[in-house]
Parts: sequence; structure tokens; C-alpha cells
Amino acid sequence: MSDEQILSLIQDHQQRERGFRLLMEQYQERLYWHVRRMVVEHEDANDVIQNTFIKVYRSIDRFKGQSALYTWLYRIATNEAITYLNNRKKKSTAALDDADNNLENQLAADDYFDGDRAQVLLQKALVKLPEKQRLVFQLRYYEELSYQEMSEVLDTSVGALKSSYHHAVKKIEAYFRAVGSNR
Amino acid sequence: MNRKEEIRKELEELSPLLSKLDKDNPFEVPYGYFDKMQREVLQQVKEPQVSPARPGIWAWLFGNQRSGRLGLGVISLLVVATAGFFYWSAPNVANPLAGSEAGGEASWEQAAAAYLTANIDELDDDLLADLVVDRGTAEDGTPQEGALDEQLMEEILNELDDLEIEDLL
Repeated sequence: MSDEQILSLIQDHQQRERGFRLLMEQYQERLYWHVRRMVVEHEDANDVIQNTFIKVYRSIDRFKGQSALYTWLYRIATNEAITYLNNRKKKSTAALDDADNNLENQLAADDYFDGDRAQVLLQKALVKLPEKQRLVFQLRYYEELSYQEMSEVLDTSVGALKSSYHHAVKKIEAYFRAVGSNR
Repeated sequence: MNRKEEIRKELEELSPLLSKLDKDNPFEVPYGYFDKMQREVLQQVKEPQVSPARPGIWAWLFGNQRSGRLGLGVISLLVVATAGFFYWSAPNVANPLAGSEAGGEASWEQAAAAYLTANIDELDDDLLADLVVDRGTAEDGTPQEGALDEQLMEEILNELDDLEIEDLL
């Protein structure tokens, strides 16, 4: 079912719930994995994705179709995840653990993380990136969004996004080489 | 060139090492998670939104120790302001005919004299007598407080002197 059909169902008061259920079926997995890579732990990702869909439900009438539905959904999910991470940063004691180490520890402790060595290294390299670079890398590498779509999601210029992606790739490669040379 | 291929080539140029990695997803979710999540979200959006009740005036004034002190202060101010309002805006009950303090006494007496003159036949004689006894009579004939007391007493004593003791018994 197309986005337009889903939206027209949601706009029909009688069909609203059915339309929203279809919207979730269509996008929940993509959005979940995007959020999960950002916040790492499943329970956190679950909180963020539920808040995201609740927000989508309550504000879908304000969606004017100026961008694709999925870029609008990614935007809401990304903002929710960033807000979640920022709140967690505030709560964690800076002297004991910074946010990156915290994510790395969560990665090691996550029962639902089972990658091969290369994937584990990639995830460890990702959590060491600055938040914006990590986001850009994930949207490009995993979600395979165009720079224009990423620009709509992150409200950043295409040039800045290309630069961030370039830096992120170089840092990840450097991490792989550093770990490889230590073995 | 499709987007997937474009992204792969871009990565290959930037980092041949990374471009060789498989994009396997290392994360997992509990069995049946997405169905459960969908149900939970639908349940939450179907529940009516209960906006947090705004605290009433009493809760606002006395909700905690700090606001309790504020509440007492506000109530004290209100009591003082209300009492002041009634005190300053109430008509002068003691002298309802007085328009102002200066000249009020004269205008009251003029009004009273005019009223008595006009309604002299309808007035109760006893009450009128009491008034005369209370206020006496001034030189101009208007009642004067205490002026008649001694005169009346003298007349009564003279009359008593003229009476025989047997008449009284």
C-alpha cells in the first residue's frame, strides 16, 4: 500500500486506526533499527520507538506532504532518539562515565547483540563517533538515504552531510586499523 | 546507477576496507517484539488523553509549606482590603443627613426643624416632649440641650409647694 493510501485512511476518522496500523507495519522495522543503532540497547530503543509512533499518531494531521512520509518519520524518530540520548547524558555522572563509554559498555552487555568480530568492531567504532557523524553514517550506510533525504531529516545542508560522512568513514577505518595493529 | 550502487561506490572510494564488510545486522529483538510493540502503541493512542488537572486555587495557595505562607498572606491582605472598602465606602450611619462634616450640623438642624414644623400635628406629643426635655430651648426658640431641665424642675417644685399633703395622699 502506498504512503498516499495510508495517509488517506488515517485522515478518514472511521479508518484512522487501520491506516495507522498499516503505517506502523510499513515502517516500524526500519525506524526501530535506525533508533536501535543510535541508542544501542533494546529497551531504550523500544521506549524511543513507542514515543515516536505516539507522536506520529498525534501529529499526523499536521503532515502536509512537503517531504516524503518516511523522511518525516525518520525526522521524528531521530529527534526522539537524540532527546533520549541527551537526557541520558544529563543523568549519567560525567566523572564516572562519558556517553561514548556508556554506549560501548551497553553494547558489550546487550543480550540482543550477537555480531561477528567485524560487526562488533564496527559498532564499537560507531559509538566512539560524535553524535552527528554517527547519525550521518548510519543514515547513509545502513538506511541508504540520499543526501537530499538526509538533509530533510537532519535539517543540514548536503555539503555538510557529505563532509560528515567522509569524516565518519575515515575515523571508522582508523579505528579498524588501530585495533588490527594491536593484535 | 541506482542508489545502492552509488553508495557502495562512494564508500569504496573513501575506504576500500569498509566497503568489503558485510552489512549484517548484529542486533536482535525478542521474539514477536514488533507485534507486541504495535499493540502497545495502539493501546496507548486509543486511551483518552488526560490532561493534567490544573491545581485549584486552594492547592495553589496551600499546596506546600511555601505556598501555604503565601496563601495566608494573600488571605490577610484580602480581609484587610475588604474591611477597608466597607469602612470607607459605607454611608455615615450616625448622621445620615450630613452631606459633609463642615456645615453638616447646621443643615441637619434646618432639615429637622422644617420637618417638625410641617408635621407638628402628626407627631407624638410624648416623644416631642422628650425631645424638648433632652435638648432644651435656645434663644431663637430651637431646642437647646439641658436648657429646660432646671426650669421644669423649678415649676414642678413650685406646684408641689402649693399642694396640700392631703391632696397627694
